[in-house]
Amino acid sequence: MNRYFALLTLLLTLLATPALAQIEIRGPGQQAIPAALTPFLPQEGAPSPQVAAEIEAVLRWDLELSGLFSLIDPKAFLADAARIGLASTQVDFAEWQMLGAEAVIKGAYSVTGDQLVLEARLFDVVSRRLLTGRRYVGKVKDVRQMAHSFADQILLSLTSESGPFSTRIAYISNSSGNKELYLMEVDGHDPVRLTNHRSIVLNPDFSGVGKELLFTSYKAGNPDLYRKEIYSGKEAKLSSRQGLNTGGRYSPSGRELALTLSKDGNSELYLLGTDGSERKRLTNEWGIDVDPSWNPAGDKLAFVSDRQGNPHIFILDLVSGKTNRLTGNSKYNSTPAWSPKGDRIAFSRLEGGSFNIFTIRPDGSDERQLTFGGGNKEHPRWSPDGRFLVYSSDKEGRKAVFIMRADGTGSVRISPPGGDSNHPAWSGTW
Amino acid sequence: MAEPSLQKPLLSPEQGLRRTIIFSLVLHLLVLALFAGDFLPRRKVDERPVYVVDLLNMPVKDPQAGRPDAAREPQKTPDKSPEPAAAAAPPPEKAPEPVKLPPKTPEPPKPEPVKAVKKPEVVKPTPSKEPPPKPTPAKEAPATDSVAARIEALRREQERNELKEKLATLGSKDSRGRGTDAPVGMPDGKGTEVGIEQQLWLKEFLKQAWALSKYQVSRRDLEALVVLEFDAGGRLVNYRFQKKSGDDRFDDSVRKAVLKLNEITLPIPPGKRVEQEAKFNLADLTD
Repeated sequence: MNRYFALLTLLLTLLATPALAQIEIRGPGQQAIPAALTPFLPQEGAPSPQVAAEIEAVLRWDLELSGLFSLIDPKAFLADAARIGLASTQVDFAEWQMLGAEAVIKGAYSVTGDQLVLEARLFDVVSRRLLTGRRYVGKVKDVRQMAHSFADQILLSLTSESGPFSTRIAYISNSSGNKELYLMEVDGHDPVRLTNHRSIVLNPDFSGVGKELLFTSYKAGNPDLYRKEIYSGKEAKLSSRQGLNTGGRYSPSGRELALTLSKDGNSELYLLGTDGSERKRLTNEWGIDVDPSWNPAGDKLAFVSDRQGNPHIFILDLVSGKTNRLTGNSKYNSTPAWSPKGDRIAFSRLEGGSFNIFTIRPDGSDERQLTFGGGNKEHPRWSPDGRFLVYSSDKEGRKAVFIMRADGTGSVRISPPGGDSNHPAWSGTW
Repeated sequence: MAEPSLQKPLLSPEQGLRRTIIFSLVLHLLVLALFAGDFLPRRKVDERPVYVVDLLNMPVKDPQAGRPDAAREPQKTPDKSPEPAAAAAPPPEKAPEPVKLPPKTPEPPKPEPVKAVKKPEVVKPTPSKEPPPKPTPAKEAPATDSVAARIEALRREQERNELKEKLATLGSKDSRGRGTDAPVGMPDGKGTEVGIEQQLWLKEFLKQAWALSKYQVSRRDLEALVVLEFDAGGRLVNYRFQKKSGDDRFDDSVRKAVLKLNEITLPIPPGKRVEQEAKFNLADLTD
């Protein structure tokens, strides 16, 4: 019996499928997903080229900024691009495969009066299946918001994390003659003025849990801290203590805020309740302490202090009370912004006569310069998903708001022309 | 109560060891005989020098098509005698014209007319691929006073040919130092490899087929191991993840790259069912 077993083993060994040596592929040949964004076609009702063009423009801008895709030139599209295909059985995947696409975005719309119904789909060409699809119903004027929302959905489907394109960016602009607070879409469209203080408004910040903004205004002559509800337009003075009331930042929980007060003669960090009551003095040094930024856990603050000579970024542990210096040998560092994932801190640094944006790990390691070239780049703020940074720059002459990926690539101006725009702040989930 | 099997006499340790050794020896001899003898069919190695030229990381199925020295070889003869080649180029309708030349024998001999008189069949429709007629027919020129001129012409032509050869040699010795017999394609090629290098081809195909954005993954230490199974014709018949990275996006991108193998067959059919392990990682992905 054992003999037969041994012979059988030998036979199987001889007949086994031979394996070749292992090959190693050390990285993708295509570092962006080849995707096709097809024209959105009319489904019911009269065709509306403006609606179709708007959808495509918004999606294209969002997807290109994401850096995830290499969009295939529409000139190469074949017959399937001219067909509405909202189900995987209606899509000619072989055509898209021939063009090298791995993802196809298709959609259709119906305009009835001022009502808009938008159907959008994302298909996986290789596996020939629907990855995600959405049906939006609203007014025609909401078409951009619908397209932004589907762009977020595409990112969610391909990265397991939603995009930030439906959110808003607040900024300060003097296009009206005074420095006022504005709000715009992530791609800079539809700017709306939120204040009319006819004074100086600066340093806005969003509440992480509601559509509410903090900002400092000289409306009453003193730099006071204000709170504003975006939809109701209601506004309230939150802190009008003598001296500076500036740099207000909501904690991640939204139950308190950190800011700089100089009521005692020197600029120090304080913790206030949302009703403006003082809860705690956080710093007590001879130098100025400004620009606090919370970590996502809400137990640490990054801030700027010149307590050791030049302005540097420090980290204050709110539990232990210990303070550590983050930045090293540079001379001038300012406006820290802790990433929503907590892994990096962005800040601007003055070097060679101009400010540039840098990021660094909270432990002081892995410092990276993100922007280069002429002009100043300041006031970096993270998108709520940590993929992008918004900042202000005067590299084109007048100050404007720019957006870029978190690795410093894909920088593009978003603020509308006219006046100077700076101090951007990115909202949370809208 | 003891079982009957236990009642049987057992082999002594020495006997068991001896039997095992003999059995093992027989098996080894059998395996040796199978591989050393002519019992198994042997595959003849066709030593055609075909290589992969890894330009821009693209797999090349017919790399010899662009090989400069390979392309030059068939053109050697025309290079040495450009005039006859040019004479062979005209279409057949013009062929009868040289036939009219014989009455003009008193004139100084020229290679083309003489050749045309000697071998009018050269102007058949197919001569372009055939070796062009050599200028030797000039010997048959009737005028004896032209012999010296003919010799001189031959000498000049020989000098020109030598010069051309020197120039060609200099041209082939470019900055990469490639000689006419240097291996083309694989850096470690010996010039006798069979077909294209299958594994390199497959590696490059998978690399080009693999699409993954660095913005899709947050870690750079991801790695997946896939076993690809090809049939005798080189078609992918099965694949399986031997090890997944743990990141769904990464693994999905690898799966898509592997599925693109369904669109092709291996350039050299393996002739039997084979398995290939492919490791995917992000070692070369830059931030």
